[in-house]
Amino acid sequence: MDYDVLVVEDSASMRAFISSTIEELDGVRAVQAASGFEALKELPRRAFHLVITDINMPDINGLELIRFIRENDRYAKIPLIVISTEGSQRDRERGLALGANNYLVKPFDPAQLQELVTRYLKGGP
Amino acid sequence: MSEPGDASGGKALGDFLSEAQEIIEHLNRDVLKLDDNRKRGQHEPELINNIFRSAHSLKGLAGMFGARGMSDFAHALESLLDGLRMGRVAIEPEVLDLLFESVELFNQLIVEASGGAKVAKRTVTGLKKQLEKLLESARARAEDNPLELVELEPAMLGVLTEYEEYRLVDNIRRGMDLFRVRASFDLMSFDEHLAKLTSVLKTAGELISTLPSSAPADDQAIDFDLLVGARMEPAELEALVRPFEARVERIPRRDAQGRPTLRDLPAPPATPAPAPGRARPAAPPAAGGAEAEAEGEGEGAEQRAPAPADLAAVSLRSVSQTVRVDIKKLDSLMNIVGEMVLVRTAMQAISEQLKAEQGFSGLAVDLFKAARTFSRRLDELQAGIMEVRMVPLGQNFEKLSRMVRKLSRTAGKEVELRLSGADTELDKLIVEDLADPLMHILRNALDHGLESPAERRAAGKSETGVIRIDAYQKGNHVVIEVADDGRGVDLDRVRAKAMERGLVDGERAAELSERELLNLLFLPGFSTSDQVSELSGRGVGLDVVKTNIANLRGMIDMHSVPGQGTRLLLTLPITLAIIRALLVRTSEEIYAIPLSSVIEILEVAGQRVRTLDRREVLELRGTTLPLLRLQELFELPAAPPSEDGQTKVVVVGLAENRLGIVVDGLIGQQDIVIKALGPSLAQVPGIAGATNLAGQQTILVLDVGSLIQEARLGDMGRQA
Amino acid sequence: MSPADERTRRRPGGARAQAALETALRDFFADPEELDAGDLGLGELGEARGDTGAGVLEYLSFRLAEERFALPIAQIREIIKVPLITRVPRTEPFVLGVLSLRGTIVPVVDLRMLLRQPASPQTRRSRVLVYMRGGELVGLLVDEVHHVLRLGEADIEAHPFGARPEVEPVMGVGRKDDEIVALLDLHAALAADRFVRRRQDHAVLSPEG
Repeated sequence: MDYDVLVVEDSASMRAFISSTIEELDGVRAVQAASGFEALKELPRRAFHLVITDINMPDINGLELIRFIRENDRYAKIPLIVISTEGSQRDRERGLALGANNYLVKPFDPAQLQELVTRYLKGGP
Repeated sequence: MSEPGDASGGKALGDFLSEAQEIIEHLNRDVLKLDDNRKRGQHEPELINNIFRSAHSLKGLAGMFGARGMSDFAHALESLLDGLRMGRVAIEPEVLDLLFESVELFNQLIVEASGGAKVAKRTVTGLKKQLEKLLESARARAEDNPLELVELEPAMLGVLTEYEEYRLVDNIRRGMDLFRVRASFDLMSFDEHLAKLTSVLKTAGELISTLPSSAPADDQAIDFDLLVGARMEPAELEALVRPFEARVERIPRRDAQGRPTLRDLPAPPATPAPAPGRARPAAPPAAGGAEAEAEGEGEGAEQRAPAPADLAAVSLRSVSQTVRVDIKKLDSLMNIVGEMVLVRTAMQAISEQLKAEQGFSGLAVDLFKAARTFSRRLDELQAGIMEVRMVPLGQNFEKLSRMVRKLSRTAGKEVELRLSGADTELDKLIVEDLADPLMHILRNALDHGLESPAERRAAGKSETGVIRIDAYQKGNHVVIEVADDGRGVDLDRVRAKAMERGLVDGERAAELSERELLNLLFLPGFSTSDQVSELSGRGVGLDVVKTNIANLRGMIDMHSVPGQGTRLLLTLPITLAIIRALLVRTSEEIYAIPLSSVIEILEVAGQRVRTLDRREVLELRGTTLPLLRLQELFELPAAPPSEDGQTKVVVVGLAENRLGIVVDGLIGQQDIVIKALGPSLAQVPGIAGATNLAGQQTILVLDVGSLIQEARLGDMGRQA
Repeated sequence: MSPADERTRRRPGGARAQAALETALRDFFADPEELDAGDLGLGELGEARGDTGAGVLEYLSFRLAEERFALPIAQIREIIKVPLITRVPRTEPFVLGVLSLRGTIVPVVDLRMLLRQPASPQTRRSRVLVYMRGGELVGLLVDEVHHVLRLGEADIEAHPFGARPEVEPVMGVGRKDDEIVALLDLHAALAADRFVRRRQDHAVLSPEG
């Protein structure tokens, strides 16, 4: 079966990089969103199995997106991975507090991302 | 961390470089604007945040793609910028200097990353240290937490990023009123409406955060809470947002020490507690934004609100609708178009032949029609690709402003750079190759053209010198004028120098016209400056600029008025990729002349050609047109004189210069793709490149600009 | 009259290359498609296979007038029959002009003239070696291509007078079996700034003239 993963990241090459990294995994399809707005538009379009989001973005930030997802019955169960930069520890902690399942710090090891994605797609903790 | 290349490869690296470059361009533009704002005493937090975000993105990108040096440096810059946006560091001139230097360094690091010149480690660590030192010396002064002063529910505070939180604090400190604006939009079109609302709110004050609400009224709607800091009455804000059916709620201030501090925030989201006081009842949001807007109070609101629809016409989606393309791909597309042009020529020839042999009927007609359609579509395709290659000249302007700012400090001169025509479009490659010559010209203007403040005062001028760059399109060319209001060229000194260098003797020197004297400045190594200044450096003269412009098949002209300033006119073709050309024959060789520079074609009786001062000219409608025989210039074997005794002259012109090129015959017009001759032959004077015709035939394309320049300088030589 | 007929272009003779040589070389260079294309003589060299290890290098030997020369195979991209060459004015006499190699414009050098060998007319054995100098391709006109020589260090004698590589680009002499070839290093001789005549040399523009 196929897994749809929403990748929310405002940097185009980072977005492409994350997408191509996870698409190396069997059956994974990345849907890209360049902003929080776009993510909000994508969310109702299909049943996502996982959301990967950056935190610092224009318009709606990643934290707001996490809260939105966690408080919305339709999306509340989607696993969430936060990708942030090393400096933003406070934001990262906030993300976890808001209900993100895990996080990665840029620059990250592609294998590590793949491992996390695999874990959550398999319904792991 | 593992090798970043794992999942990326070469293509991703290219993407990285182009995105990084784009970020740096933004960074540069924003820093310039910041500098401008500071001078005018304006404060724009969003701008600082943009700059921070640029550095932040660069750090992330560079780290991801293994560009260690860039990532480390971006990190240091990011820390300083974080201090700036968090208000811990003040925007002082020295901070701006560092920002400008950082941008410059990023440019160099990009060049390095793409395989260019290495950047000295010392440069990077030196600048990094400076950034760190500055941040340290301006370290935060601890303050109490003003967040306690407002009654904002934890659910809202909990989703603010650190920066947004700081903006909130800053607004509170500055005594702004805080508002929560709640709006409900149709799920399908919320981005457009939200963008409009956002821009309306930005006219009122600062939009601190946009929060999608988790409790939508129905499946088809989405609610937003927007946190705004503004100094106005709630009623005013309400009037502004009425077209959006948005509700406004002022967030009350607390008088005593507040309870829910940020540190002991209960993270789990709570239902938005309606704050006491002015909060309206949480009325059910309107069904759909679009519908709601159309009905009800629409009319009145439109008059009161400052036309929200116009304010944010820019779609939010545009960001992701852009595609970045390697220019080489466009080149290869253009080459294919070039091959197709040959096919078209062949098709048309076949069609003609068929028509001649079988009359214009049946298949001949069909082929004719097909060829015609093909031809039109091909023209469209060509135009389409050309359009993609076009970029605004403004890209260069930013680099130039930065440079002028820096150089004027070094030179101790006050300079105002006025730019116009930044949106004039040119082929990407031309725009890139223009950067260096424009920089040289500006350097010259700053260094030799503009006087010191004291000199200017003595001459009755304002102390601040002005350099203007104006760009505009003129027919098939783009003209760039660079003018300064400095001292102008000292023609007597040029004359003296020409004699000193043995170019002319005293008698001739006195006869030289102003134009001829100015032309001398373009000769290699001819410089009137007695000392080499730090700015212009050694051995960099106008001849280099001229060569650069000539390589772009452009033309440079100089005008100068002593005491009033110097003006340089660059005339450039809009594109180098594919052009229409006139094919001419001389001594059994075929050459192409870009049609954009052909003014007319004459056939004149041989006896009308006169020799004036050992140079052939043609009297043409009251003016004297200098002639140039390709056969002599290129030392080709002489062809027998034409039977009809007529001389064929192609009159070409660039800017205000005219030249008659004498040829043996005219072959016709054709679209050609110009190809470079490669490093070994790029500098052949008078030749711009080569092109392939049908049948494996290669011909040379004349460089009209350089032929005209040569004719002018050649003149000079003979007078010597 | 068609322009193609009336231009003075240097065209090779009928060009039926010697079958034996072609067979010998085909295994090494040939891209059959290019051979069929007719105009391109022996086709593109695939991956340059210059270094065979153990200090043995492969050279391509060729003839200029009566002498034999060789260049490292790694520097030769392709061997083609002599196509139409377009003269380029204001260049040094050894520059024959430019040719178009599948759309790319490539300068062509008369190697005989560069190496001061006596001139002789082109024959059907004449070839253009497409040589890689830095990032630029340069065509080298030679009288005949012989074969590939494998030379070890022991087979090479350093040339006694290699001090001025731009005028004397022979870096050594290779001996193998009965064959003696002059090994060339054209890097300096074909430097990009040596092709165009210097400005002062242009007859029309000479400031003193």
